[in-house]
Amino acid sequence: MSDGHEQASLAGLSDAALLHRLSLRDAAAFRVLVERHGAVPYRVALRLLGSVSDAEDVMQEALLRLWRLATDADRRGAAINSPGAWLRQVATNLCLDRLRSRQRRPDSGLELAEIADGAPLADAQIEEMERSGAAQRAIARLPDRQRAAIVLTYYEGLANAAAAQVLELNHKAFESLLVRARKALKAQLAPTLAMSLDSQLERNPHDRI
Amino acid sequence: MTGSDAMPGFDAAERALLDGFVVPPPRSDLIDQVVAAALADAPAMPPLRKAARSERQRFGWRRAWQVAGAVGALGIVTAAAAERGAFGPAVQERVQVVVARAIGDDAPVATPPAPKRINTPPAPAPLSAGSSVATDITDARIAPMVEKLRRDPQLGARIDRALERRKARQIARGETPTPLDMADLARRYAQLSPERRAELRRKLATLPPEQQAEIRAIIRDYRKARRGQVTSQTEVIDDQSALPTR
Repeated sequence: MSDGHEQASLAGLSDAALLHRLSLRDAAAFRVLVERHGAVPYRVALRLLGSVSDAEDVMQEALLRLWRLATDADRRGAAINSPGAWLRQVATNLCLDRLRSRQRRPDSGLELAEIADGAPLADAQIEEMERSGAAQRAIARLPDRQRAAIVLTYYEGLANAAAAQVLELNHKAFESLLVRARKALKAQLAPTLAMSLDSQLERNPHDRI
Repeated sequence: MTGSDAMPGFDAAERALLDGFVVPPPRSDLIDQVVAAALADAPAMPPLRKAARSERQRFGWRRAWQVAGAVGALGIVTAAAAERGAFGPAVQERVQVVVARAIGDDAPVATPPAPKRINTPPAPAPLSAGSSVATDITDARIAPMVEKLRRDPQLGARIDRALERRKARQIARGETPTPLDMADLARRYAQLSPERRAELRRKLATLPPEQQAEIRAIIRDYRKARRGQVTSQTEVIDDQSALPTR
């Protein structure tokens, strides 16, 4: 069977079947899992850390941990029910570790520059980037765990119970954290929204009350 | 994925801003790198430690032991320094008396030797332009400098990560990991955006002056060597202007 055919047949397998093949050090199965779930740790890390290179590091580390855990005969008992959820949790933990270990400047255009490519930008794209940058900066100014709470619930769409599990908090503690996070995020977004409203009024003065 | 429909507590304008934070997908060649790194990977990682430790746990016994260890080490270092005369002959004599009593040594305490003048080693001879060993010599100076920078609390973790990434990239390309070399550093620097270069220059300016001077000297010598090679080989170096200057 050619590589292409093997890849295609593996792509139809469930996560559980792929994990079983992974325990036999099947690189093709690992590739399918990476293609299927690799974006999860990258996405979480990019939103939590705000840097493409750091997000790539976290993605690579999380996926390597998946490989090591699944192929390690001594620790194969550690069940991975859902690779996506497992990778999300590992990535979140890795990001929190990184955030703890560095006193990172919360607001930097550098990371935005990393996300943007070098292509010439139309007005709409610039506006979109500014919008994206405003949200990114606002999230980056939150304390680490509040940032994680927002990323997990808002962007990753996790229910509070699932997000609490990722952060290893009880339900009540997580809800309290999320309330604080939302309040802080709203406060961070307020100046951008006010500016946006001002410019809208400048463009359409008749809207003025 | 965004949770704009599932997230209470934000109004439409706020949700519109938050939904604008879209992240691009990872590079396609990253998957190849990860798979290659996994196949090349031999040792198993230690188990994941719990991320959500409470404040009490974080600053509990472990912290107390760390503080006690640091204080103890500081005491030992200070005593040793005092005995060697770091705080002047009077303190040295007193400390030596205490130490002699403690170890039951009746021998008279030696008078402190006159402080030795430390002669700085003579500056290395200037590198001959065009020499093939010139860049090797520059490369040999990188490792000790990197070691110094790795000890910097602000930069250490970042440098470690960069080195790990470099190693992973080389493994992913099927190459044997090599020590850092100036040509590679200059090439990577040339590929950086102007903002990133400015950021690096700002970081360089925060280092102790002697480290800054050492780094600049390495870069200067590397440039000199490269210029020499260019002169002799009549090649054009396109990354000269990219190197950091102050």
